[in-house]
Amino acid sequence: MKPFINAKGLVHEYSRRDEEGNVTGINRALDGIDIEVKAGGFIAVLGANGSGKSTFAKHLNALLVPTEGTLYVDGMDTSEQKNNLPIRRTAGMVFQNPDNQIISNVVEEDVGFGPENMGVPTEEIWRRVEESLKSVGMYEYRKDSPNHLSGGQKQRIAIAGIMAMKPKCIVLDEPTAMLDPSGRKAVIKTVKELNKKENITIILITHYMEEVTGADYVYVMSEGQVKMKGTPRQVFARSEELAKYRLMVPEVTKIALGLSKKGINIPKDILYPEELTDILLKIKSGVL
Amino acid sequence: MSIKLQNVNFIYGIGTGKEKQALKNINIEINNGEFIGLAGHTGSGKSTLVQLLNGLERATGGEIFYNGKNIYDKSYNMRNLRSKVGLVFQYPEHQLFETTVINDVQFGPKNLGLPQLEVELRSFNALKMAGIDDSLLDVSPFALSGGQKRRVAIAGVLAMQPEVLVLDEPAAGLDPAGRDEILGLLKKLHDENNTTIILVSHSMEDIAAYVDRLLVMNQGEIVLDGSPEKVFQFEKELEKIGLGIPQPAKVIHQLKEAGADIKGTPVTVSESVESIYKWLKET
Ligand SMILES: Nc1ncnc2c1ncn2[C@@H]1O[C@H](COP(=O)(O)OP(=O)(O)OP(=O)(O)O)[C@@H](O)[C@H]1O
Ligand SMILES: Nc1ncnc2c1ncn2[C@@H]1O[C@H](COP(=O)(O)OP(=O)(O)OP(=O)(O)O)[C@@H](O)[C@H]1O
Ligand SMILES: [Mg+2]
Ligand SMILES: [Mg+2]
Repeated sequence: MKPFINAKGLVHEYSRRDEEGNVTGINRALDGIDIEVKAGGFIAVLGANGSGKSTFAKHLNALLVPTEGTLYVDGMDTSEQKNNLPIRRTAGMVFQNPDNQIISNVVEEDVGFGPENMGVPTEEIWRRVEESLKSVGMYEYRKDSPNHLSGGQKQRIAIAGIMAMKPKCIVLDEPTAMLDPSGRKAVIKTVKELNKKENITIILITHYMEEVTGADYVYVMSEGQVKMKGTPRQVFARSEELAKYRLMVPEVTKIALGLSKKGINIPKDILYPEELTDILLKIKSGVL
Repeated sequence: MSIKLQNVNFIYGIGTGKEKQALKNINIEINNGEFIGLAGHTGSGKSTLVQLLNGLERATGGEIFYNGKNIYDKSYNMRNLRSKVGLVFQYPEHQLFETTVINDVQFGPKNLGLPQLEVELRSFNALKMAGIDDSLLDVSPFALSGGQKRRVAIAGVLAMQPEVLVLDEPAAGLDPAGRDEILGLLKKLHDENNTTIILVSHSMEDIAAYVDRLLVMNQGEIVLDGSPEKVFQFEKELEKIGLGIPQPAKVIHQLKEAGADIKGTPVTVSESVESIYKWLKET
């Protein structure tokens, strides 16, 4: 089967310009990326600030086109302009700063804007608006103005707006950066459900290590290249290598590593608090 | 030096028929040299509260005293307050507007009327502290990655060398190493210069590791005020209001619930490793 997303040798160069618009330098933000995602897959992308994650995300949505190499989204070549619109309908984007994504003065209109634009029948639009607002916990704000909401509330509206379009794929670029713990949990849960129940392909970019534990596969980027890849457990078992790329393992994994350094015989790829508690109780009672 | 809030209320949209009370009767005193964490669910009023502290917004009720002086007195010098209380916005885009990174950072100190040499010295220093590479100085702030923008916004406020640093989610969007660097920098400013720090954060892990005193907000009110060790004992309450406790504290709670006799109330990774190790070695 052909991969749903297929990047081969993908390169992106930004040209830096001075105040008069003259090119003063070239910045190779993506430097030969190979990433394949199958339809219905859930991948996470990690990496230091400036490593190229958002640039990659913008390619998935054809907001940027390859300087070199190729990128196919659902079989469509992103470098062909005629594919722009179908690609944007296929891959919905959620950004970190919701301000740039809010369009309308009323929450429910904002969420309905996408499907309306796609020609979805009115009744179906309202059904989707209700469903997606409920799943992000913002249904009671449907008549409010998004401009009067807090940062985290706006972000939930932006996510609902993308959900209502029911795209085949959702690209989330640090969607939880401004959310409180329960909001973060809710968004990650929603994302997992969209992936499992609706088979929507998910690309999740984040700096929160705990959030990627649900992904099938993790890519670690550094200086425009993919430096590590594997399942979350495989990647988080390599804590020293991660540190080289300015990343860290989740805090529970750190505790396990700390205990292991002190001579306790404990696995180093623990990802969840419950898992750690369980293992510790077993070690204490001598059954492990 | 202290900031005192007395019966502070804030209502958005007064007179529009769509009023929204964002702060209800806030009474707190922030003392000189404290490192304070401010947590709360989304929409609880954190950003509104911190915008009152440097006079950016005006309380719709109540008083605020800076060093004992009422900042709402007619004769009070608001401009001066803004240079003493530096605010890093939740969204760096709201703060960056100049054509180059260096101009952006110099804007604040220039406005203070400092001599050019001092302006430059402070700006280069601040950019260095915030982890911005020299190669980015002449770049437009809008051509930066998310985390790079955040650092420039922080540098802009650091360059003003305020007495009180208020940061609204400064670590959001930073990579894990960057998060530690910036929070470590705040700790250094606090320890070495006695700068008062007010850190708004959704990360209970960051709060546990850095702050001395934690204020928790719920629906416009302060509902918990104490050391992180104390506040994180209220796991159920925190969860009820959309928050949680740091992962290490969670593991400790689970162990205790299962009957483990662990001493103390560790909330950070290193504290937990110590306590768990001792417990495992006990016979
Ligand atoms: N519009 C632009 N013009 C020129 N250079 C840019 C532009 N946007 C980003 N860059 C540069 O490209 C590189 C990659 O940026 P990108 O935004 O993809 O990083 P990122 O991995 O998303 O980082 P972050 O974690 O900080 O969001 C950085 O060096 C950045 O300065
Ligand atoms: N300009 C505005 N007009 C009307 N209401 C507003 C405005 N800004 C914020 N609010 C409301 O005031 C309340 C407090 O908002 P605030 O931005 O202070 O929350 P917050 O704790 O900073 O949230 P977050 O963690 O999401 O940033 C929210 O209910 C919000 O909807
Ligand atoms: Mg980015
Ligand atoms: Mg806020």
